[in-house]
Amino acid sequence: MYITMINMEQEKAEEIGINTARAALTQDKIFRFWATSHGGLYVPVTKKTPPNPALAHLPHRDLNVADKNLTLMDPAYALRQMMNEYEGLYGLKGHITSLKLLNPNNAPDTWEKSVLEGFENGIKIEEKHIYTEKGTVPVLRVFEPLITKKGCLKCHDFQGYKVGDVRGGVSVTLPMTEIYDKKEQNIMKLMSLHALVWLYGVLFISYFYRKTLQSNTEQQQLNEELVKKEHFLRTLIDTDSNLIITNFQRNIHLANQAALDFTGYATLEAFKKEHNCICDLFEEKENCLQEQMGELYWIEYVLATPEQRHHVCMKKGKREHIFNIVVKQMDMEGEEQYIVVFNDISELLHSQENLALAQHIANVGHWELDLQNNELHWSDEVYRIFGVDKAEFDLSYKAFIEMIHPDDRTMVDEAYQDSLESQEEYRVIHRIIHPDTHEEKIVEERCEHYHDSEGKVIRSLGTIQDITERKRLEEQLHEKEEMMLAQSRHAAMGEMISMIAHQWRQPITVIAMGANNLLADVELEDVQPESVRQSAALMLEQTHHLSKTIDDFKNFFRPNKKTEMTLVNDVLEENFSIVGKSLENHNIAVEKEYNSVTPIPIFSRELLQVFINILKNAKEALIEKEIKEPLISVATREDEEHVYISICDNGKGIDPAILAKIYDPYFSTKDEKIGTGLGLYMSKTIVEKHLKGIIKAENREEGGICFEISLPKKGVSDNE
Amino acid sequence: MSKLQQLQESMGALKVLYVEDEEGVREQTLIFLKKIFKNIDSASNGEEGLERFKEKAYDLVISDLKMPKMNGREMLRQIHELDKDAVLIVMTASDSNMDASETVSDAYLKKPVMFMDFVEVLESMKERLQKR
Repeated sequence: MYITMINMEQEKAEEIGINTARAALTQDKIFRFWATSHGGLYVPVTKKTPPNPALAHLPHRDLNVADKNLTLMDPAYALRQMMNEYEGLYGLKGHITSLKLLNPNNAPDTWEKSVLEGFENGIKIEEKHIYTEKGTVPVLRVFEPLITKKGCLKCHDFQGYKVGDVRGGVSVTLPMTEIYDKKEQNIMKLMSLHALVWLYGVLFISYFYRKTLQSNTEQQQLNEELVKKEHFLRTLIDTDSNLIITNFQRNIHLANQAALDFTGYATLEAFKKEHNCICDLFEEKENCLQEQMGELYWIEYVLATPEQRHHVCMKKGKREHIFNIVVKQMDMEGEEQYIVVFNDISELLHSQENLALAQHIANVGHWELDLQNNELHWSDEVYRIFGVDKAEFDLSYKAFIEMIHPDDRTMVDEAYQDSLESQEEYRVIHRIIHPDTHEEKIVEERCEHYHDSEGKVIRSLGTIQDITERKRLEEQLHEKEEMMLAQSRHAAMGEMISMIAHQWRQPITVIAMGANNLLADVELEDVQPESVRQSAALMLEQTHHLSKTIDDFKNFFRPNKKTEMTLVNDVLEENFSIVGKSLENHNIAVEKEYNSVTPIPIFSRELLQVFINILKNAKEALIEKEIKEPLISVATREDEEHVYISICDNGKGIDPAILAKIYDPYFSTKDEKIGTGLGLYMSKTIVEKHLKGIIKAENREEGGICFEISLPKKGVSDNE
Repeated sequence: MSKLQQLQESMGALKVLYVEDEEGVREQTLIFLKKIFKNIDSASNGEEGLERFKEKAYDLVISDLKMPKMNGREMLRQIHELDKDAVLIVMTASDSNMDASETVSDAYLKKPVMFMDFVEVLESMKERLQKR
């Protein structure tokens, strides 16, 4: 109030000053206008009014009228003269000036110059004033621009002035002493009037001013801190990939960047224009949260059922996302605020589903044993493999061991303990038995261990696979192979028996004939000791031959448990000693070319079986096709790593269409009575699996077929 | 007089061809046959046997069946074509009767041949052979 009054007094004083100054300026303006309208004025030449040198360029500057010397005075000059003359008269000092001067005496002072420069730089053309001091006297200076008029050009045309230009100004300086004295008097009056009020006022104001000042600083600091913290929090929640919103009651108050991105709105305001609640976006699906959950609003429902997991389903584009949601309640100045976090678990669910599906398909489950807390975790598939109910089964390492077949328990436990010690992979195949149904399964387990920084194992992560079916099929396959091997062996045995029988018939016939001859001699009463001796010798010789063929026969069926260093040529010769006669009977010639010289460790009986099969096929093909000069050629050779045996005939070869099938089991082109269809299948099995070699068949260009067997020189080891 | 001596007297002069590929068997059998027949030749396969028959009209042909070049069955068939009255005896190790039944022959002897069987077969052929 006091300050207002002081201000009012000040304003009053200034107004008086400005009005006074303006009045003076107006007078000056009128005078100058008048002078300009007459093109200046002529005055007698005196000491005070000498001819203006600045107007020397004008032809009629000086006139002589009635012996009086007159000189032209331009309006600015006239005005300055007047101002100079009358300063003392009413204390008002006027000054006409410009940046481009005709009269150097009219030069602007610092203030005037700054105002003029402002005009030249395009500052709006209007009056300017300033309260200042001239010496010790307070003054008001008012400056008014002079706008170039037509009359001005008489004197200023040569300077390039144009009508409308601001080319100078008039200023007045009004001493304010008198006006201020009056103001001080008024203020003094006011001061005495309000002395008491003022005193208390000052005290009061200064106290609160300081106080406000102080609290303002603190407030500002706090505000800055708050802004920083808010910015920090905002950044924090915006960087979270979870959708986070806050609600006051049922109104959404804040949404983080992830929430805006998911809902597809640029700002929360844009969202709120179309939705009242994020629950507008909740999909109506089973197990997914809805806006109203019975009596309760969704947020309240989540808070009311903390023991449950809550899922929200929302679509982004066409894709449905599933969220786990968590709600926290906060009391904000009496109002409930809720923080809701949506955690997108779609990907997780997807991968979990895939894993479960993959585990189910592969009959693989996984388990984890936490050794620190002795906690065992099984995936659903493990429960399924063990055939126990997840909800009812009391899972522990001990419970697991008890499910194992009694004969395998120690082995499994030891294998696991060993792997813990060695920290090597644990891999074991064992049987499990269902406690109630006693169903037996075969499982394969593997696991790896994870250890802490000190190298102590803290958990084991493993898989368990139900391989019952695989084992069963493997066994079936093995049995089938065994059976075919046996069949093939029987067939080969039959062939051998037939060969041996053929070989036996001759010696038996010879022996019988020897006996017949002895009987005949007796009948004819012509027993000669020499012929008896010859017959007996012959019979002995033949029985020896018979005995040898029995050895051959035994040899063939002697199971090859160990490999022998074998020269393949010898096996071929052994083969011909058996089938040779049969080939001869069918006029089949045999060519042999043995170039292999290195014995190799193989199962020689099995190789013999292969040779018999191939030669039998060759012989039968040559007979069946009635080849004119049937020929079987066998050859052996070797290189650095392999021994090669080729067996060729000059028959018709094999129809290329069935060439690929010749090794199929039970495939035969022969009459059922002759062929079993297993010969070549077993030959291939023996060569590739038992002898680790390769067998190939190729039609020859000149007709017939060649079988080539290559065997590794390093042979095979006994247990193969 | 033994049966063999009787055969020796009644058939000793017949012209006999024996065909057998197996040398050991052929030798021993020839020793036996020569005790009865004075006029006997041998061949080691069907082809050779047929050639011999074409050279000389044999009264009796004793042959094996399984032989190289030409088997006994084919040889006997051709001999029968040449001389319907020639007596043909098969002597084979094959235990299949089918081999014999499909063969043109008058008698069948299974190897190993028993002494008495041989005597009986020859005795049964006595009448036919005596006609020649």
